[in-house]
Amino acid sequence: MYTYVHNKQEADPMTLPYSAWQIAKQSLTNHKNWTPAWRTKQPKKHYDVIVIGAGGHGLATAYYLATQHNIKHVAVLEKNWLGGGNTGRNTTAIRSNYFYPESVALYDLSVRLYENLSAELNYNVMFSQRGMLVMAHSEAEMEMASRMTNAMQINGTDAELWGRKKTAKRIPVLNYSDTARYPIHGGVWQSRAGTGRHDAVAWGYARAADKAGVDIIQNCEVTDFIVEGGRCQGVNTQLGEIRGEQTAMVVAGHSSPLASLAGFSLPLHSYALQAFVTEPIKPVLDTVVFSPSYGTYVSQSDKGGLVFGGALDRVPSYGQKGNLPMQEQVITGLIEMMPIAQRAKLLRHWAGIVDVTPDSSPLIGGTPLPGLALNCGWGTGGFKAIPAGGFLTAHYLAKGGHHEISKPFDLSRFERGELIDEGAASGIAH
Amino acid sequence: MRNDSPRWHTYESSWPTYNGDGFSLSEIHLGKQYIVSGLQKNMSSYMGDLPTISWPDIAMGSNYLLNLRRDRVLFVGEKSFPEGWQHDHHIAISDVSDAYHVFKLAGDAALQQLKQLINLDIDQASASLVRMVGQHELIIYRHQEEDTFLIHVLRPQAEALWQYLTTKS
Amino acid sequence: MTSFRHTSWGQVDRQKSIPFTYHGKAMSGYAGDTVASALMANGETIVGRSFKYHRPRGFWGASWEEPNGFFDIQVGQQHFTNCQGTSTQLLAGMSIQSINGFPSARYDIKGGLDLLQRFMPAGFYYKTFMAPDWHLFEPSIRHMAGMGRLNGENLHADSLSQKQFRNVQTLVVGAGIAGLEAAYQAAKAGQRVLLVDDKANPGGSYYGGQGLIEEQASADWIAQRLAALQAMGAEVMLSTTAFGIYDHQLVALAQQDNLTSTSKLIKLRVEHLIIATGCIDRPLLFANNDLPGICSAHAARTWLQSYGIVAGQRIGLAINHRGYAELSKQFTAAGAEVVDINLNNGPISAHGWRQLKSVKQGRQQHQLDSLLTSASLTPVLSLWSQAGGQLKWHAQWQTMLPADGPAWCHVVGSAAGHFGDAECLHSSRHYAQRIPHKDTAFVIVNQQPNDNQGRQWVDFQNDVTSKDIALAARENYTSVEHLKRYTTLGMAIDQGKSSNINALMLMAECTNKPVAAVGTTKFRPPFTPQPLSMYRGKSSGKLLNPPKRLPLEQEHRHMQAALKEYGGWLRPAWYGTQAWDQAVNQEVLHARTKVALLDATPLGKIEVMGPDAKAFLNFVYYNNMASLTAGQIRYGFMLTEKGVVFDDGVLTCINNHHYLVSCSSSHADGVEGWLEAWRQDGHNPERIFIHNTTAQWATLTITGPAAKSLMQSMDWGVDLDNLAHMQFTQGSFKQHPVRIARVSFTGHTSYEISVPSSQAKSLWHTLLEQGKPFDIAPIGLEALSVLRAEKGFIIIGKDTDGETMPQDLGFAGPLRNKTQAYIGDRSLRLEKAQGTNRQQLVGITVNGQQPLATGAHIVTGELENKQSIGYVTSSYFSPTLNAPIALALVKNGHQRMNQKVTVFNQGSQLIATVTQPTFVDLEGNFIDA
Repeated sequence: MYTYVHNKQEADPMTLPYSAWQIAKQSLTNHKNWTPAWRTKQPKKHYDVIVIGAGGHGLATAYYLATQHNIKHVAVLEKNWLGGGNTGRNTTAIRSNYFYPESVALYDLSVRLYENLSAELNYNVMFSQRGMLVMAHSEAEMEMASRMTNAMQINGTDAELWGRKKTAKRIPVLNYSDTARYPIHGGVWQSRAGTGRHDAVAWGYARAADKAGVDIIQNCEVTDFIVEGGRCQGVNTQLGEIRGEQTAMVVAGHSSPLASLAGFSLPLHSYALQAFVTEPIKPVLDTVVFSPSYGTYVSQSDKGGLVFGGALDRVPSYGQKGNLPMQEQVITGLIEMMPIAQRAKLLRHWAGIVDVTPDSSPLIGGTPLPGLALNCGWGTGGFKAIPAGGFLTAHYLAKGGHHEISKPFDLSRFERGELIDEGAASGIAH
Repeated sequence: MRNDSPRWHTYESSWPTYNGDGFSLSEIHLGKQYIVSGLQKNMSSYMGDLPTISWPDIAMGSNYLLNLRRDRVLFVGEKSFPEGWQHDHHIAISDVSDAYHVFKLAGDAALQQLKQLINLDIDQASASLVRMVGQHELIIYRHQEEDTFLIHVLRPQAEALWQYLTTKS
Repeated sequence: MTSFRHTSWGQVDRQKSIPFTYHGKAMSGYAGDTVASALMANGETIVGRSFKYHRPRGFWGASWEEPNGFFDIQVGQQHFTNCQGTSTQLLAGMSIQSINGFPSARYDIKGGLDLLQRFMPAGFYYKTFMAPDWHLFEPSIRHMAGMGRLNGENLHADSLSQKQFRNVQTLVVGAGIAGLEAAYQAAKAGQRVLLVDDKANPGGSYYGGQGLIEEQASADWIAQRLAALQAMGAEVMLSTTAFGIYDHQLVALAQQDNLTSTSKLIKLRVEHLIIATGCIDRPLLFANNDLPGICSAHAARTWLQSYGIVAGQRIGLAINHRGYAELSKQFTAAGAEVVDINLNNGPISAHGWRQLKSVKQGRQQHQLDSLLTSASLTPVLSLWSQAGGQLKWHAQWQTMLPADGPAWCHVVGSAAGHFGDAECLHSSRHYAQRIPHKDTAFVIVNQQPNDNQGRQWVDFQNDVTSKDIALAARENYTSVEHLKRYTTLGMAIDQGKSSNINALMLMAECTNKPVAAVGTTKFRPPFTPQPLSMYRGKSSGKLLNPPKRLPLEQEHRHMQAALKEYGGWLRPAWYGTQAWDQAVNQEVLHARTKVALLDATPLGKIEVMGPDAKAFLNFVYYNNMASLTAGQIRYGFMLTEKGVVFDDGVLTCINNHHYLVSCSSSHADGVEGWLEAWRQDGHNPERIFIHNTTAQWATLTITGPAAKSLMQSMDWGVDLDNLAHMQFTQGSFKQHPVRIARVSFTGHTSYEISVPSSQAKSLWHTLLEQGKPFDIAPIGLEALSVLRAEKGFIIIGKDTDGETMPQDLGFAGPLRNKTQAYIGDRSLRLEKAQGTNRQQLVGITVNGQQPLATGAHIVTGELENKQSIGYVTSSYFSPTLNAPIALALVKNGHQRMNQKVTVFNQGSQLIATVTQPTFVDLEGNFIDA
């Protein structure tokens, strides 16, 4: 399916490897000799590739450029602090329970890369394959669940159609009472799905990319593109001009303003997506559960808080705050779905800005400006796709063309009507 | 296949008066109701001189126009109108006398009750009387007394609203 | 700490004893106590264990800033977890347990973890637990994590919450002297004022105090202000926390008197917000500063004044400013020995095992059981920050103060840096002018903490030390968000209230930057943790998303209907008490042989009127609707701009200016919204009007071979003999208007009869009565689904998905022939739309009696290379044919007639045949046209 270059880690005197043994060793000198996870660099005047945006996808792109394609003269430019956008704000679900073969290929590539990621990056991203259930609450929803599980099985990923008994046995904490607003019939179970530690993914890729020779430059905002001869030759930034053979914009919710600087527009709408966490409590839930009827999904982090979320806020906005109506709706759904939650307390909530395309599938590939590539439009589903997004964007930049898995997600698909509409797959026309 | 009839109590299309803490809720029957759409000037000339009620106006009597939008009112009263497009007057009329149940919510705590669902304030004027509550479009206005509120709710959703207002928290 | 209860001081009511148990041991407190003050009165010193190292901890704070003392509490049948001792009112009968310690916080078997602390620096889990597999370590780590335990017993015993919208002109948060004064001024100026405080009593740090405010006894001053507020009509709400600020000046308040009382979520829209939330202490950093017995100076004063709790018998004061000048006197008068430690003389270190025993400073050693500390004052500015207000670092005072912010917010009192009484009141008196603080009014001694004698704790709950911050700096996690997330500082239940500033200062030192350059983290709502149950209100069970109800519900129940939810309505699925599949089969056969009655009331009825109605509808529909004449009905699709079919239904022309859109039952509101949006886009809304009259009309459908005879036997006030299929007429039913449309969803002659909803019962009973000679019987939605599938009539969203275009369903006519523009036309001409491998609607048949599974896929290829070319959308047993039938979307389906295909379902496969998507009455003779 793809050829994967295995990253042989040479012993680098600059960077201490991570392991239990190393921790024990370092404890003898009070941990005073740990090395920086990534160096603080000043930007050079020129690079082979400039990646705009040090979120998960941007950092992964740089990492794979360096390790899969030996392109190490790379800069990742970040206007704030790395991993501080949606990568640092999501509810950490990792899954590939999608309908279309193109989507399954994309997201399952990501799951497979996640499965080996900690070892490869030498950074514990805590990918916990605790399984995920998408619940069905009626006969009609079970029919849709059947359609979905069959599609997943045919398209080469794991899926099971569960009934009520099996669900109750595996996830007893859900609402199986007669008075539940939406009785549980069962649902789509993917055992390889799970959660990860979002910050660790960003930091792990940053450290590994840095180690491979990539320059990660924080607090460096791109203010303009350098266009000469009809081609993108680099960027202007707060820290001056930086030229690059190729540039990639990987900035999620900020893609539209950046695109307009480059002279084109993108078919994106930005929405606020809220996420919530409760106070830490002893374990009550050891898998990921999503109910489309209740409009809520939930898992329990390894620190103990219930992490949950729901639908987009109805009013689109660039503000990073959600509002009460959606909170009330999501929390109401959570309690009805998992009654014990009514005794938990909300500790914190926040929102990210998600960029949504007309078919809710991402954009990977070229742009109308030669020399500028993009990776965006992941909407609410970017975190799970970080390894695949980075891998495929790196491929596109290195080879000057698409990997077969990213080809269907090119921006040009809209001109041809070749939408990959996962929302459509669920029967909802929109 | 599961039979859900026992999960829901019966909707009987009528309710006895409910007396709560400082408020009473009952169903009342008004005369005819029509949705009338068109340009404002045409509507008043066609319907005659009737008071147009906004928020927080108090409607008196049984004939009045409820302000819904810039180009729409709900006629409440004893008159009958021909339905459909009135070409000469450039007005569209639909009989909705049977589309709504009308609840009367009265008492000191009546407004409090409503404010569980909706941000209503006597001091915040609003031209339109339409209030969105979740999926429901309600029409709410004062009638006869300062603390008497009439709520027009679409028939299929009336049972749900009644249950909500009469369930203690 | 050997804290004790003073014999007479404090505001507790010693006449009212409150019994409770702590780890099963019977204890008591007084009315007015918190769980914390009651436990301290009973001599409890170790009240919690830290998250990572399980170090013993004592109470530190006055109320919501407490980082250590959290409890699981049972009251009656209700269970609560993570209850903050210092902010939880004591109630009779409480069973209290400490958390994160087994068997208790006092004697915790995991206390030994601290010995391994050098192997568990900040972020150690990122560096390990990778090999061989994270999943091996995860379960143990999850069991170690989490603080309290959620108990799911007797959930029904918990009270529901209330929700309220409110409006007010001026909200004042904080009823200390600054807030009381500001509220008073605002009320005097004629504002409608609401003053809230999260405590049960007003007065802030003056509550229970003996001092003077403007020469008056503080209790009198407070009482006077309250009386004045009441006289001016201002409202005061206590036990009310302003926890969040949202768009357009919405402040969220949580009101709850005690753990078991109803909680109230108040959504308050304000014109002005005055923040008078005061300050808390910044913890002094020194070796072993987390020992039980060490606490906030402000907290100790609160404990004394409110509850009569004296922090210890030998109390040290380590305060590097003069903000607590009276403390020494106060505690001496309370009966303790007080030692004032001069921090100018060098750094201190604390010593003791499991609790404070002594404090060293250079060569001096003081034997102490309690140490009150404060390194500076930290204004409480969460709300200010949430509202968009900026913070600026005051280098001299080592604290954050409010800087620029939105015009509708004001900060007054100590929260704005006015640390003296006179200054504080002055700022409130002139809140509108935003008086700046005086730089000279407050002085602190600059502390140089060193950790040579032991670890210095920054975040007490998550066990983050100054060494961890140094480590984070060393590893380049230097931005404040990285620092926080890497060390988990500020991410515990107290959300960094007592740790944020120390962390910033340490990071600044480690990175050689000024504090202002390190940055500040964003304050996020809620200010204090809020029970999830509060957000729910009454919305649970039947009150959550209730379905729409039919006017004939009673009639259906009377005829033993099994009601289920379809498209947001509660509708009859079948009738009768026999097994459902038997009932459905019977109903299908009855509709094919006699005459059946169906409640079709949910069908959308949207009137479109006006001089441009015709042109508008011709634009909205895929089909040519401009050629409809009065009394004619046409079936049509509405497409999205992507060319995808999103609704089907019939359009009736009543006259040139009046049309009736009959859209699918689940979708009427969506279609109305769609029409209203397009009416204003590229059209003149003064010439098109849209009235959704779905609720006005009840619709009953008569269908079957005997339908026409039945209709002709009844009086409709209009001649039906010449009413052909797809025609419409109006008549009268018992002097009420009736609309009759000949539209069929079963293939047989059908009449949709609509009357005003109030006449539904009358029509129903009349039809049943008049229909007796024709053997009329009601049928439900399940039978209807089979009937329409037998004829190949689609259900949108079931037999179509979000990619299905009209040509896929066999309706390519308008695509070829319609010349006027319509919504979706451009998309139908894209490459993919014109492609040859599209999923098209077909029928699927199999041998035997067992219907295919809906959702089964049609596949090609072998084993690993299987590919889906479509899936089964509807599948039933047809009693009419006595055989299974199915509809499916299959790639290139129209070219596959009579082909054998493989159907895959959950791992097994069988062979089926592709057919036309019509199984019954292929010539269309059932319709008596």
